[in-house]
Amino acid sequence: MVLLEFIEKANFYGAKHIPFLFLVDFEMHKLFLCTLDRASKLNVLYQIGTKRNFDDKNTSICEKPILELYPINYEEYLKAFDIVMKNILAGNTYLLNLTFPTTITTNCSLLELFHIAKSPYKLFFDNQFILFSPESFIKTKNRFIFSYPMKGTIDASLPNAKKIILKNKKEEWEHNTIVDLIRNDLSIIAKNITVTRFRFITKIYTNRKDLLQVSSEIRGKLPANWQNKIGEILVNLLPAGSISGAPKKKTVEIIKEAEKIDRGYYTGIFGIYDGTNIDSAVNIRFIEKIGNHIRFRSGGGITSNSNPIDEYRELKDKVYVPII
Amino acid sequence: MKKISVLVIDNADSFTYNIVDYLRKINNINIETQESNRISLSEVNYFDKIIISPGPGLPKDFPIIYEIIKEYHTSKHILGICLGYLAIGSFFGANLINIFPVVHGQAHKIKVVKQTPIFKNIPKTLKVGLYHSWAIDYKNFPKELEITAVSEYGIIMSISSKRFNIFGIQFHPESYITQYGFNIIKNFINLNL
Repeated sequence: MVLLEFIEKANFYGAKHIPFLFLVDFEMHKLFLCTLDRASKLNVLYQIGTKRNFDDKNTSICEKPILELYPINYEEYLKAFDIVMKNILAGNTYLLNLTFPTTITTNCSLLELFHIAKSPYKLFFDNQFILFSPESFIKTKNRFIFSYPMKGTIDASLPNAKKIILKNKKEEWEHNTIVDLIRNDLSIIAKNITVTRFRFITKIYTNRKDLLQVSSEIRGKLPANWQNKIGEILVNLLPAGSISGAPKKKTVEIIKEAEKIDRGYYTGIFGIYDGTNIDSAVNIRFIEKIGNHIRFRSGGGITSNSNPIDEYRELKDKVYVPII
Repeated sequence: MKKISVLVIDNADSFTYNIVDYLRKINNINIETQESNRISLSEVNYFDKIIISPGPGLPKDFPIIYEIIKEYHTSKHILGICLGYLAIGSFFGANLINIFPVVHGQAHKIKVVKQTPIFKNIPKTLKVGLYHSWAIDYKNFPKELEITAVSEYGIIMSISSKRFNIFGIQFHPESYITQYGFNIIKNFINLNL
């Protein structure tokens, strides 16, 4: 559906406290919304924290996922990186999330990968794509809205990994930028914005290596009866800051120039409204079916201190399936 | 008491609402936020105080802000932040220079070198958040303006007009990493009309 229809529907269900599932693409061209009880009929499987509409029994026949990666070649990546860096030095952007698809082959089906993957946020969308995202977009509770931008990743097996990532200046500056950006975004739709946790660590277990991720928690107070305006609240926060950058408007233009293809549902958002509150994710760790092959989409934040070799490695490192 | 009306001009920025959220904590003001590409010069006249937001690129990419400064710099209180600061500086004739390395998301120490109303009751040195790749040059610095703070790396951090209530700050008072940022914005609002 189109943007206006989405906003109207979300506001309607919100005001009536009817639970629904929503999915928005990065470009905000093809938005999806259905009442929660219809999701499985539409072949949409979701997991959000402990809430889900499927079980894993008798489904997983693909015990050990093997992924073969065919990433974008480095020269091509570098061209896009250079466009971004030129704009950073000119002051057009401070932080830009640059992403590319990696074609993969695997011994598992999309549905099998979906069942194997362990993650707080999972979505299987009608055999078109799956995602298993570690990153929350927004949550609400008692009229508070929370966002948890995640910036900074390190191999958990490195000695002193936690100390290294927290002391790394480049990571700190990038994290400051995302915190200021998300504070701004929440200020559009809420008041009294506070950073309630700054740079905390979570661990992710994957089929390749374990990772530490750095996040912050930012909180704002929503207006009374905010459920009547759920549509506007969601749309005003998009695209999510952590997968676009700052300043957002100009940064999105540069992303289009550098990446050249639409992102679609990748780096969009999905979530559920349970009749009282929202919980939602940023659509990352994303595998989609394109014709006969499948591709994994990934990327990372580019700042003035980024170097293309490391960023290219990070893009490939993020092609994994979390399994524990 | 009459409410003070404040216009926040948003230059396609993603920090503007951090300024707005600080303003909301100040009593007795009306706040209006407008995108700079939609604003008309005459409607600015309804407001007592103008805050020109940060933004991407250079002030020349947002020509309306030069027109606003030109029209209202003698009659209204104006605070320019980052891009808005560069606009004020270059309006009075300052040169803008592209700095390298650029500074994005970093906290630097600055020193207040000349007392000015917006730094009232604030320590002489403080840490501030920076997002900038351009700065105001010392060379040909306009006589109409004075430098009120400088960073630990020698970069000009704030300016004000010698005659009018116009203030520019290179750093971001609205940033999470800036100390006393709220106080600076409050000082600007509380400055008697």
